[in-house]
This record gives sequence, C-alpha cells and structure tokens, in this order.
Amino acid sequence: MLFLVFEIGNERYCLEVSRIIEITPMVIFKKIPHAPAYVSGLFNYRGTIVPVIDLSIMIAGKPSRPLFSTRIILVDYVSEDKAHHILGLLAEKATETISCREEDFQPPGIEVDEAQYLGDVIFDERGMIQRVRVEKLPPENIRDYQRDYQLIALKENNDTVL
Amino acid sequence: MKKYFSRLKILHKIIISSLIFALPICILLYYMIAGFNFNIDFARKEIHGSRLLAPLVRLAELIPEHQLLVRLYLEGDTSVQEKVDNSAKKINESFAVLVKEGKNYEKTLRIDEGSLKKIGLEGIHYSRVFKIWQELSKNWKNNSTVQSDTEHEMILQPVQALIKRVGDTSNMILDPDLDSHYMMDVAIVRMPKTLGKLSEFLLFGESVIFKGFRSREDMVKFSVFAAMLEEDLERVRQNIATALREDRNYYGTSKPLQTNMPPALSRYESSVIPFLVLLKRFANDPDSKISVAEFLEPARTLLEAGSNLREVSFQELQILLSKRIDNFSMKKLVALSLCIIALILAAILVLVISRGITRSLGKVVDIAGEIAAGNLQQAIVNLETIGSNELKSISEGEYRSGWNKNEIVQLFQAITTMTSGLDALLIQIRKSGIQVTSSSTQIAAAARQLEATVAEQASSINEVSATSKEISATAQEFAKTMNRVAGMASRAAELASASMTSLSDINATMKILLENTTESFGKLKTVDEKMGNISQVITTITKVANQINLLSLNAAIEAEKAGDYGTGFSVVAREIRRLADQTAVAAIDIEALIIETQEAMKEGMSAVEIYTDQTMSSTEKIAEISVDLLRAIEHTQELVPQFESANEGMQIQSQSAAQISEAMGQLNESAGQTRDSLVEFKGVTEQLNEAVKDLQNEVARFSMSS
Repeated sequence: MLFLVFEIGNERYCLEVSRIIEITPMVIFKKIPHAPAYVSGLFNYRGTIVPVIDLSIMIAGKPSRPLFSTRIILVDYVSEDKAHHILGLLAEKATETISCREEDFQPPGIEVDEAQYLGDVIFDERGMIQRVRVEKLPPENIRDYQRDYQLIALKENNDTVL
Repeated sequence: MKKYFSRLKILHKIIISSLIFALPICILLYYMIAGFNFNIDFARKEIHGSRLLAPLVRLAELIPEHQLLVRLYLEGDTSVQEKVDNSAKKINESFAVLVKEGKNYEKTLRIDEGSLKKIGLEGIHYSRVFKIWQELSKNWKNNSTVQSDTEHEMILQPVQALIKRVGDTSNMILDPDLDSHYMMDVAIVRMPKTLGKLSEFLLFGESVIFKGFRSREDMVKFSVFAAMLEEDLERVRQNIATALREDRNYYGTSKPLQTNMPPALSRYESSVIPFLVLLKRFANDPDSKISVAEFLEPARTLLEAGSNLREVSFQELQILLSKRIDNFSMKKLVALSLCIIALILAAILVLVISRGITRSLGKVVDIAGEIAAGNLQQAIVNLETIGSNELKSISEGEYRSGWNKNEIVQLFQAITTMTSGLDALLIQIRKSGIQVTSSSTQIAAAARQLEATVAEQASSINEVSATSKEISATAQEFAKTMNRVAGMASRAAELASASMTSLSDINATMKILLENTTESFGKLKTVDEKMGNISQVITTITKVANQINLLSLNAAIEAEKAGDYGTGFSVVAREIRRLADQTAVAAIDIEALIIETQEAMKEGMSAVEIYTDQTMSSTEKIAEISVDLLRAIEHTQELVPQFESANEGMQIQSQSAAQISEAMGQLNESAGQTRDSLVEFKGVTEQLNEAVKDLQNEVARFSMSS
C-alpha cells in the first residue's frame, strides 16, 4: 500500500493514498465566520465547494506555514449516512510517499478521545510515522455544520450558476 | 551642775532649795546661840569669880583682924585669946571655902599653878597661902609682934593679889549691865577696899592710941581717913542708887535687890556716922582721950555693917548674874525652839507643797502621756473629771475674778484649753494634710508633665541644634564645593573655548562623512535591485520544481488507483518527483542564500540610511551644541563672580547657622537647668508629700473627737 507522508511541526504523519482524490497547491480560502480555528475556510474544487481543515492547528495548535510544500490534500470522506464528501486537509511538507504493508502498522497502545483520528504507527530509518484515520475526521459537532454549510455553499453555487 | 539639777525631781529641788535657805539660818542660829552662850559663860564666869572672891575678900578682912587681935594678945592682952581663936576659926572656914571653890574654878579663872607660873606669880596660889596660914595658926603665940605682922603680911599680900587676879580673869570689871556693874563695883571694888583700908586704919589707930600721944601727922591721917570714908560712903550710896534705878532696865526688876539693899545700906550708913564722929573728934580735938576699946567698938560695928553690905551686895550680884544667865538661857531656849519649830514647819510646808505640786503634775503628766500616746479622747475625759474635782472648791465668782486661781488650777485650765485646741488643730491638720497631699500630688503630676515637656523641648532643641550644626557644616561644605565649582567653572570655560575649535573640526569631518555615506547608500541600492532579479529567477525555478513534484505525486496517486496497471507509471512518477526534488532543493538553497544576502543588504541599507540620518542630525546637533556651548561659556564666565558672592553668602549663612546652633545649645542648657529644677521641684514635692504623710501618720496616732 502507498501512503502520503506530511509533517506537522517536527512530527511525521501519513495518509492512505487510496483515500486521496488529488493534491493541490494552497489557495486563498473563503473564511467562515464563527467557525473553529482549525477550519481554514472553503474553496472551489472543480466546481465543488470543499471545506478545508488545517491539520496543523488541529494536531499541533498552530497554523501551517505558507510554504511551497504546504498543500491541500483532497480526500474522500464517507459520512455516517454513507454519503461521499470531499474534504480538504491542509498540511506541510506533503511532498513524499511511502510504500508499506498494512501489517507493518503497530497500535500506539493509547487512545485519546479528543484525537480518535490518529491511528497506528509505523517507523522507518528517519523515525516514527502516525497514520491519520480520515473516517474519524472531523469531530462530531463539526459534521452537521459542515453539511449545512455545504448546502449554503451549494445554494450560492447555484446562484452563481443561475 | 545645771544638768544634774535639772534631772532632779521637784520634791528634791524644793528640799535642796530649802536646805540652802536653812543653811544661813542655821549659821545665824549658831552665831546667835554662840552669842547667848558667850553671854551666859560671861555671866557664869562672873558668878564663879564672885564665888571665889567671896572667901578671898572675907580673908582679906579677917586676916588684918586676926593680925590686930594677935598683936593685942602679944602686947599682953591675953583676954583676946578667945577672939583670936574665933577669928582663926573664921579664917579656917574661909580657907576651906576658898580651897573648895578654888578646886572647882581655878581652871576657868586661870589661877591654877600652871597659869600662875606663866605670869610669874606661882607664889600666890591659894594652896600655898593656906599652908602659910596653917603654920601661922599653929605658931602664932611664939612669934614676936614684928614677926607676926610679917607673917600676916605674907598671907594678906597673895590674897589681895589673888583678888586682883580673879577680878581680872572673871571679867567682872567688864560687866555689860549697869545694875550688876555697879553692884559689882560695890561688892568687889569699893567695899573690900574700904574695909581693907578700915582694917589697916584700925591697926594704925590702935597703935596710935596704944602709944598714948598724937602727933600732927597722926591727926592729919585721921582726918584724911574720915574724908575718904565719907567719900567712899557717898560713892557706895550713888552706886547702889544707880544700880537700883537701872535694875528694871536689865532683865526686869530684881525683888531681893530692891528689898535687901536699902536696909543694908542704911545700916552701913548709920554705923559709919558714929565712927566718923569719933574720928573727927579725935582728929580735931587734940585733948580728947579715948581708949582702945572705945575706938574699936564703933569700928567693929562699922566693919560688921560693911561686911554685911558687902555680903548682901555679893548675894544680890550673884542673883543678878544668875538672873541674867536664866534670862539668856531662856532667850536661847526660846530662840532655839522657835527656829526649830519654824524649820519643822517650813519642812512640812515644803513637803505638802511639793507633794501637791507633784501630785498635780503627776496628773498633768498622765494626761500629757495620754496625749502623747494619742489618746486625746481619753485625755479630754480625764481632764474633765480632774477639772471638776479641782475646781469644785472654787466658786464661780472667784473663778471668774481670777484672784483665787493658783498655778495648778491655771495649769489645768491651760491644759484643757491646749487639749481642745490640739484636738481642733489635729482635725484641721488632718484636713490640711489631705488637701496638701492632693495639691502636692497635682503639683507633682504637673511637674512631671512639665518635665516631660521640657525633656521633649530639650530633645527638639537638640535636634534643631544638630540640624543647624549640620546646616552649618553643609553650608561650609557647600561653600567649599562652590569654591571648587567656581574653579571648575572657570576651567570649564577655558576647556569650552578649547573644545569650540575642536567642534568646528568635527563639524567639517561630519560633513565629509555624510557625503560618503550617501554615496555608499546609492551603491547598496543598486546591489539590492540586482539581487531581487536573481531571486525572481530562483522563485520561478522553485515554482516549476514544485509543480513537477505535485504533478508526480498526483501521478503516483493515480497510478496507485490504477493498481497493477499503474506500476510502471508510478516508477516514472517517482523518478520525475526525485528530479523535481533535487532541482527544488538546489533552488531552495540558492534562494535561501539570495534571500539572506538580500535581507543583509536591506538591513545594511536601512542601517546606512539610519546612519546617514543620524549623521545629518548629529551635524545639526553639533552645530546647535557649538552655539549652546558658546552661550554656556559666556554664562560660565559670568557665573564665576556670582559663585564668589554666593560663596560669601554661604559663609555668612554658615556663621548664622553656627550662631543658631550656639543659641540652641544655650537654650538646651536652659532647658536642662529647667529640667533639673523640675526634678528638684519634683523631689521637693515628693518630700513635701512624704512630710505630709508623716504628719498624717503622726496625726493618725491621735484619737480625735471627730
């Protein structure tokens, strides 16, 4: 299996490539008022309004730096009603891939309720890499909000179409 | 002496003073008694003398008589044998009396052998005379007439000498009383003399008659003797008259004297007259004849009458003398007893008075003791009881008039007054004491406050003094500093004028520097622009590499999604990505270098810009500074004289501060003195308080009426 590796702070994390739709360079987002800090905003992905979550804020508490290697990872997010959504994740140094097997992952032995999206761990010559579980993203209270916003975004989109 | 006297009790004192008074009285008494005794002794001596004289005078009469009789016998008249024996017998009796009386009185009358020997008259002692007489009386018949006469003379002479001696030693001549004196004169002087002469004359007359004729001489002798006899009679009469007249003036009239003397005298007178007639006839008529018997008869009568008168006079004299002795003894006794009674009375009086005084004083002392012990109440009660007893006898009127008050009553009154006064006084004292205590306590508190205030004042003054000293010192320091500043200011003026030239040099240099800086800033700007160009190129390269990386990633994702079909493609994608990564890394390295250079350049530029600005402002400031400095120099130069005047002012201020400090010191001393005075005052107040406390304690000892 192939995993995309990125960095948050000095820690390395990875994502299943099978979940990734596309990687795009960073753009300017439409800000969402009153949204949590980790929600960076919305952007138009090939005609679809996609909400973007800054993983750096979510995990390390500080926003991603505006580097060339800071990119939006568009993932396929399946909600509880089995509907497919596109979700943008902002992360630094998303320039490399790693190829490994599912069995190589080891459980971390501890699970934090606030960070259920962080999963098993593998390690290579440069250190440990923790797997980010997309299906657990974002937290529960954000999802409806996201959906509502999606509707609003759609409406706006329609307006613009009309 | 005074000390011992004052220690004695009043009784003893009174006894001592009484003794002192009694001493001269006793001495006077002694002298008085001695005077009486002297008079008594005097009279007694006279009596003794008269007693001794009586036999002697008698002998002086009898011996011529005996001689006459013996002569008659020897001339042949043997009939007188009997008369001779009779006469001898009388002489013997008289001698017996003489010897008897002589033994008794020879010492007092100094006729003992020792006394007589002293004056060379031991031959006249009565014992010798008696011996001669005894021989004569034995042998008288055998003697011749001449022999007999001589022997009789040998007896008569010592007898007469003894009479004289006894008369001298018995003070009879010095008799002080007129009656006894004249009686003595009659009894001892006049009559014996007359009788002696008469005896002698009888012998002479008998011899004249015996020889039978009368010569002219004999007749003259007879008439002379008659005249003498008459004169003697007159004298005797006068003496006796005087004695009788004066008798009543001396120890009262002596009855026997008045009754016995006149008959004896008249008898003598009557016996004198016939003998006188006989004598006159015998003297005037040469023819008249008279026998011896006729001659002797009236003479013997006369002799007897004379003897009788003499005897009577002797007796009366002795009576007078013994009366005198009795009188003096009586007087002595009376005086003595009166004195003793007076002394005893005085002693009793002294005892009674002193006892009364002592008893009253004892009461007073008891009361005073009560008062002293503080039982004033008891003392007042005692006084009242005693006062009622003492004053009971005195009526109200007398009491008021005051004449009957004796000292004891006055003393009790005085003590009563004193006690009540003391009571009132003590109450007053107690009140006053309390008042004084409170007042003195207040005074002490006030003094303490005052003291504290003074102490505070003193400390404040000290502070002020210290402060003024500091001011003075500071002023002096300041003056010194001013001096230095003035010096420094003048130096600074010099330095400033020197630095003026340096500043203008600096100004010029700064201008050059400014030009150079501006030039280098321009060059740096050019470099920066070039660097920006390079950076843009590198950015472009980096963007391309990034795009390639992104592209290769998405290619890899797609190849993964394609599964086994995409394996070759994924390898291509990885290679592309590696190339892109290497490019990107090189570009990033260059970019980092350029960015650093650019940043350094920018910093340098801004620094140069800032530096230029600063240089410019510095140049301007230096110009301003040089102007200011010029002014400062001028001011500094102006300051120097001002500094001097300020310095003088400072010195004056320093002196003033020193004066203030001195004045403060004096003030402090005054405050110290005031505080000392206050301390003393406080001490005095405390002493006063103590004294008042003592007084109150003393007063508290007394139990008072309220």
